Amino acid sequence: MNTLLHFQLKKELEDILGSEWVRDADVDIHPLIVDTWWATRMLEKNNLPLPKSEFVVQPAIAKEVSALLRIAQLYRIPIIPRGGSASDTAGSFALDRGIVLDMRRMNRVIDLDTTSQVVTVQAGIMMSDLEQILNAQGFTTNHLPASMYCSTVGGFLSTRGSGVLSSKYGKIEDLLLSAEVALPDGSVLRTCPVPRSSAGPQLSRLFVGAEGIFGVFTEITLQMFQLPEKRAFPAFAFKSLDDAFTAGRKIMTSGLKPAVMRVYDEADSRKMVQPVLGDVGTFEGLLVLGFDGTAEFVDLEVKIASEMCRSAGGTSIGEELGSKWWNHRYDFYYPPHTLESSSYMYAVTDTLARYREAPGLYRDLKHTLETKFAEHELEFVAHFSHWYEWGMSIYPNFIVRCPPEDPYEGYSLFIEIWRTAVEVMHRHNGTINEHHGTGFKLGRFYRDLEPERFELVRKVKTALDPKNILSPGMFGLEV
Amino acid sequence: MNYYPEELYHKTVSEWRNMPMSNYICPATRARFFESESPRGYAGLMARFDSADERNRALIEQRLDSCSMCRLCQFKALDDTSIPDAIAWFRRTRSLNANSSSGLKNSSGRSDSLSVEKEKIGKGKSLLVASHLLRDTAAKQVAEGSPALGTGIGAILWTPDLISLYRYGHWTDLADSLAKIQEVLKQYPGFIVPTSCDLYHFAQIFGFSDPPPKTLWQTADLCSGSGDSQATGRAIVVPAIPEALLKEGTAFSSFCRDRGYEFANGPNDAYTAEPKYFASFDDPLYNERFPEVAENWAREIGQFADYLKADVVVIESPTATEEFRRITKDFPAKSVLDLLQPDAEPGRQHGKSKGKS
Repeated sequence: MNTLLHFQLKKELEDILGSEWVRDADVDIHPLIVDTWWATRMLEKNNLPLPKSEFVVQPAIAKEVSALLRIAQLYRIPIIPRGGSASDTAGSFALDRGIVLDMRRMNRVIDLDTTSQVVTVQAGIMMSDLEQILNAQGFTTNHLPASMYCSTVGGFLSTRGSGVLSSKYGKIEDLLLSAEVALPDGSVLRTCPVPRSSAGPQLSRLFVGAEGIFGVFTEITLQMFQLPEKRAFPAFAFKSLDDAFTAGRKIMTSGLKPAVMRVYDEADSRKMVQPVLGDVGTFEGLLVLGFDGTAEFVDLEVKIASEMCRSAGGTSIGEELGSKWWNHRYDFYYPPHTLESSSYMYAVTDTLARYREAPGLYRDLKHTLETKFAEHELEFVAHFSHWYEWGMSIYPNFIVRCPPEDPYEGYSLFIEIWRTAVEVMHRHNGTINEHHGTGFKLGRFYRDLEPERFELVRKVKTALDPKNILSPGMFGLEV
Repeated sequence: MNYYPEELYHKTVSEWRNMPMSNYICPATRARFFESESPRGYAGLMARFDSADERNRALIEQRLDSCSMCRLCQFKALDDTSIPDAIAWFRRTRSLNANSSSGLKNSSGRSDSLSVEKEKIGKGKSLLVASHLLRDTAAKQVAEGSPALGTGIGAILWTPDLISLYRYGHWTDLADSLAKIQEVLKQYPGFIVPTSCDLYHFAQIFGFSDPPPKTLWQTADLCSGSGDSQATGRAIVVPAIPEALLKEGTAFSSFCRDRGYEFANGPNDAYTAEPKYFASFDDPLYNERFPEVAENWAREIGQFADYLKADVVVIESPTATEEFRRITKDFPAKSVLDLLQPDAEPGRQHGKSKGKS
């Protein structure tokens, strides 16, 4: 963009937001060029140029978002909505050029309906801040991922985030009642105030998991819950991972509602769990359960679930480990334990499949990656942390401790590992991702492996955003 | 700069650059949400400084200034001040202010002039050096819990301004301020409440360098002016108990055994005087996440204060203070001091105290 256009656009942006909330200095843009994806960190560490936006702007109300989108249309400049930027898919910064729309100033609670247990917020509120506000009133969203400290409600909805209590309360989209969305042309859509209506398609779902390509969440209405009277975390050790899977599946399909259902394979127990929780023993399968609610009900659920675990070959190891896990559940994602603060090449290749296919998918994925990339000493660890009535997620990390020094060789290796992983997932009817989003990083696999769905997404994108203003380059779409 | 290992700086910058969770612990970031004025952003800017052109270096300095001048994290009594400490180190090693357009002076080669004769500090009397953190955090809580104030106890409010004068190399103003402090120090007895981060700067300002103190305990002794704070009867409270004191056969170990005291967090003679690397987060979940740390730390302070027969105990963390107030029900004659009103008549602060003890 030439200087004349840059100046003119800057003035127009300042007229909308005020000069304090429009920044274009290099030092303000530079911190936005990386996310937690290994590739962006690697490029920055090698002092290689990374894509930069022209501006970062911070709106406070939906009307400002709308005005910004209209200006972007006129200047044909991309707008990239950005929450807390915990993304690991290159989904929250400009891939080529554009305006980064930092949503975190839109952080007000608009309405707290304690009668219906519903809360309406601006989309940029940090999840942790919302939880604090609700907790003070005796409520919770029960959406408690480690990233709640660095992610906005709008960001979670855009990537279908999932928290540690998902097995009972679902993913973020299961809490969604309605939303207000600024569309690419600047118009504002308010979806049906409650779900379950038969008057047309549920339009709020169009924007869930869309990673900002169809519109920008500006206001969100979520279900909330009362804080539980009791939480209990029994844990069981299994001689085989399959036994742990069986126990988990039987519990999830029995009508019981564990809030936490978490199985760790032996490698994950040893390499990821042990450094945080201490020596937890050596088990082929470690299952941590969590139940919450009224004390009487929790006790009953624990009793029934424990019997089911024992009948599947599990041995109770008490509640101390589970409680310790609960109290330290976020430590895994902070230094010195988090892989994000390491120099390793790594990624979370999370996927989701039905119970019939999931165990085979896990074994195939582990075997294939460890075999094919043996020369790079690829390590594969996994846990299984989000369970449903019909299937479960697989949450593997691959770690390459000594990636190639040459940046392109490293990048190429990273993509090859991912390609191998998603092909295995696809072969077992698994999904490309479970709750971290697709973004730019995995977009090409979405385009290649799911062409029919990709084509429909492309058509919708073209209809809503013909100038490709909003978040170009996601899902394998045009950059 | 012996106190801050270069590896620690690089480790901090490397880890924080890519950790989105780091932004949560910065109160300023949570209020304004500027990425370039956030811990993650600062780490990125420091990493970029060497390759930046002159204009951008000046802008980077400005952004880093917003951290150094803020220290809101300390007011909030956060445990993790990794980035502010790293910036302080970065600033001094890069002599950032040498070319600053804001008229700040170069700090290089001037630290000797800041040395204060140790024997003049609180000589013959107890010494109270209070962290500026106390102004907004523990002061109220501690004062409100006070049944009575100890006699002859005064306070130095260790202001953020003083720290800033040091960081930015305003040596003349700093020397003037220190001279005033010297006068006050001569008048008042008291005790030391060190905090890992400020103690580092405290030691820097007062020029302890031969040998440099390695632990909080050593620094506390140096600050007391005697080299043996326990022997002088001065009340010095440190957040960790030196290992040597806990060994069998010492008076302290016998004292602990007799009273059933345990030091779950200690012994920790290696509790460093350097800005510490401690990735924890002071938020409403703090107690949930680290309940044993908060409780044990507060208990240990109380136990150690009991051993020292301390007149006054001040704690800088709201969480720990709360725990301390609960725990000190078991300890007799603990007084507190309102550092918001250091000149007020002891016992009449906040309208809660009952008079001199």
